[in-house]
Amino acid sequence: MSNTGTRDRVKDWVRTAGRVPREALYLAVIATVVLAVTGALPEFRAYEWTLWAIFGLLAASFAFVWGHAGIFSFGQAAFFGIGAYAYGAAGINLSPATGETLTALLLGTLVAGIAAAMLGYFIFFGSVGDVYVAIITLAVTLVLLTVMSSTADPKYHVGDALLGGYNGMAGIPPLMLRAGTALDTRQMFAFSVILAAAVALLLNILRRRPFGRILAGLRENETRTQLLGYDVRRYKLGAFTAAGLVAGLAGSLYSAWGMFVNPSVFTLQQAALVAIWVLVGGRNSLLGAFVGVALVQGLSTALGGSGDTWTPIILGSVLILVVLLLPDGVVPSGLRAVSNVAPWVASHRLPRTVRSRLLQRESTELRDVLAARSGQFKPKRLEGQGLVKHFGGVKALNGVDLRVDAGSVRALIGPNGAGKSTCFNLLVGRYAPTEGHVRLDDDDVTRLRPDQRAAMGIGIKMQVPSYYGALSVFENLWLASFAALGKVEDSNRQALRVLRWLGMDDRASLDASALSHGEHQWLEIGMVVAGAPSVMLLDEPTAGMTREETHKTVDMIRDMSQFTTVVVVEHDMEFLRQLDAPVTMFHQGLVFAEGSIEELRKDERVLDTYLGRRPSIDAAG
Amino acid sequence: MLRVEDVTAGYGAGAVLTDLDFQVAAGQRVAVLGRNGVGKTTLLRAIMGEIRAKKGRVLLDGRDISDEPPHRRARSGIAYVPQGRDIFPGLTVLDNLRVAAYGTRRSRWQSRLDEVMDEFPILREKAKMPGAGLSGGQQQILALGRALMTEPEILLLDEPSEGIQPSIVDQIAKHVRRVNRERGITVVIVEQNLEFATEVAEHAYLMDKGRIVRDLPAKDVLADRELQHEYLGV
Repeated sequence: MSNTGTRDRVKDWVRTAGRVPREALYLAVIATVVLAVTGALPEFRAYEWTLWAIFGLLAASFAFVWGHAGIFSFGQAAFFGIGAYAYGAAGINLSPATGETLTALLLGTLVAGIAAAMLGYFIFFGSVGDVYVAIITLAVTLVLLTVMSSTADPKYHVGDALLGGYNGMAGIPPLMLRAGTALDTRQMFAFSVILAAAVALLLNILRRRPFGRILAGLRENETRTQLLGYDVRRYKLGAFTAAGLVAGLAGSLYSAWGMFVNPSVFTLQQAALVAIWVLVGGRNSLLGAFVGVALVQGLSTALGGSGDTWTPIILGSVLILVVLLLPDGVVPSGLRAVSNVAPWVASHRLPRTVRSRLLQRESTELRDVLAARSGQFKPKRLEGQGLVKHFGGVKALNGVDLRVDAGSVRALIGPNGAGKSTCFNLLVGRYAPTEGHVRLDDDDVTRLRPDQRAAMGIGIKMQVPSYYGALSVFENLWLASFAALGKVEDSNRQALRVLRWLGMDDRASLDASALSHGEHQWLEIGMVVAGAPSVMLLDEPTAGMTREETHKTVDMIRDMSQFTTVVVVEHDMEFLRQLDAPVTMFHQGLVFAEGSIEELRKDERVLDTYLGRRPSIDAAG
Repeated sequence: MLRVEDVTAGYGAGAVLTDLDFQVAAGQRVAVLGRNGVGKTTLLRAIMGEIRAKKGRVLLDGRDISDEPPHRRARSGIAYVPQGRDIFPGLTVLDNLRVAAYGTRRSRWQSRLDEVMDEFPILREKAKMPGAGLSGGQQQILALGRALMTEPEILLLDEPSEGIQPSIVDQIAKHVRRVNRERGITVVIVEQNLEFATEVAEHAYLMDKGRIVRDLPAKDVLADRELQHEYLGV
């Protein structure tokens, strides 16, 4: 659980499916301990700790949707409350007939999940901005508060269950697993803790699966994830729904535990409390969710005796202190401290020899990397025909024909504002042209989005850095591989191959943010290569590189050009001279000159345009 | 006087400037010329403090300001007009100018505003317009006016001619020369447009690969075709 920062994440990945996950062991340990201590636990403790486990589960749902998937949802309290009311209504209506309430538990979870899916659909497919997600989910929670508070009239009922307005829904049956026998306090404690642990561990497994990895990717860099060809809306909806289900389960357990629910579950305080638990425990730590609940609830219980007025002030101060002193939360900070003193406790490092054996099995040849995507691996011709682009009144591109033959390299250059970036963005699909067409071999791709073009074999490295800083180098490459290949095992191997080709084997488990500037660029080139594209579009691949790094990049691009078409925008003349590929020079939105870099160097008109000299335009025209 | 002493700086682990030495006397007008990517903008950002020097010092009138954050350097009299101008698009022209004044003495606000408006009548004319509603050239003038609101000693201009029509480029050159002459403001200009640069500056520094490689009167660059091919062309 929790922070995987210190672990060897390659191992996690390469370890294949089919083995028993370590979570099974954790669950067995937790279950054994719980069953062993339950009997000795005073009843009031069992009662209190049951609530903590339930709140912990709610907090875990928030840690998943916010900490892992990056969606700040205030709605977890709403789904919790919906689950609680749904369990109540189902329990009151069904249990007299069936004698059990497991069905109600399931229904409560499902109703909350459906509510989350419906709300999430409008939020994510409506492409609502991040801030508004928080506002909308909070608004929904508060609307529910108002609605549920005004249902005191007996006419508001679900079957036999009265909603009860402010007074809430009473007479909710406790948890009954078998007909007619309710769980006693201690049994309820054991059941809740084990169930909460099982669900949290399940979420933890989910984080490691492709679905979870893609979520981490979109948390780190949504645009990049989109450009790799993932439909981020679907993944966000998936995460939001999963978190809604878990919150609904927690809510159902809550009303079974208290045998009562009222609209206070929908208050601002409750919604904020969920965020506070997770902030204290650690935002991307599922264990932290439970620890956060225990700390905050424990503290507020302890303070409860000294008078209500002081409790919020002290709790608030504690929260501020935690955020200031342990910004990552208690659990991740604690784990880091432990691993500093005793590295073997928190990290499970794979022996270096095993790791390198894994790597050495893979080829270093680019040919094999690109062959991974069978059928599609073939350089293609990229063509812009009569491209015109106007931004408002500004004519950035005035009719450009550009043809890059399959398997060739082309460099685009030009002074600032000449139109080369605009042209590049039209090829990429970031802008739609005002006039003209973009063709990939014989397919017209003019109207396709960047992610759709990526799926057709156009690989893109943008000018602005675009990698996943908090994910390991391996995970970065894996996400790019998986987008193209779609199979876990293939993607593992592909990522390892690219790693070898880049010569960055020893960087595999490093956070991408820890790389040097040049290595960042290579990582991004590697992410393009991992998709085995037919055409690669590279915008300023050597920006900020040292001379040696630029040399290596030239070699990489030469290597790539044997197997695929490469278009590169660059204004590092040293790089262009070494690359020695045909150059297209732009000026004032038109192709001004084409030829080798040496030819352009001798051209006086080219020099004039670079110096911003006005007469040159007449000379050119 | 501004002095950049042996500075190495860059982004992340890489160095864009390597052991760069550069000096401008008070009241001078100088241009920094070179190809894209040689480090011209990085030099201005290192002077302004937007990036810290990994090695070396930045001195203003003999005082070491290497450890000062950008806002302190701005108050010490360095004004920076970045590439792309960075005016506040949602604020009116007047508010764009007022924002710059907040960092300075209150008693001088109104007189300074009047001075800037007198210098650039177009700003008075468009005072109520949002910044985004100005043309590129007018935005550049606004950025220049906003920089002058802080009463700087040194004005750093990054490609002021970029994307601006020729008549306004000439006008900007005149303005820059005049504020230099009348107020004694030191001007450091980074440019691609050689004619504009030599019109503004008396002296030129040529940059290549993160260093200053030549240092000569601006007129000489204009005359020397060989030099242009070597450092400024393709």
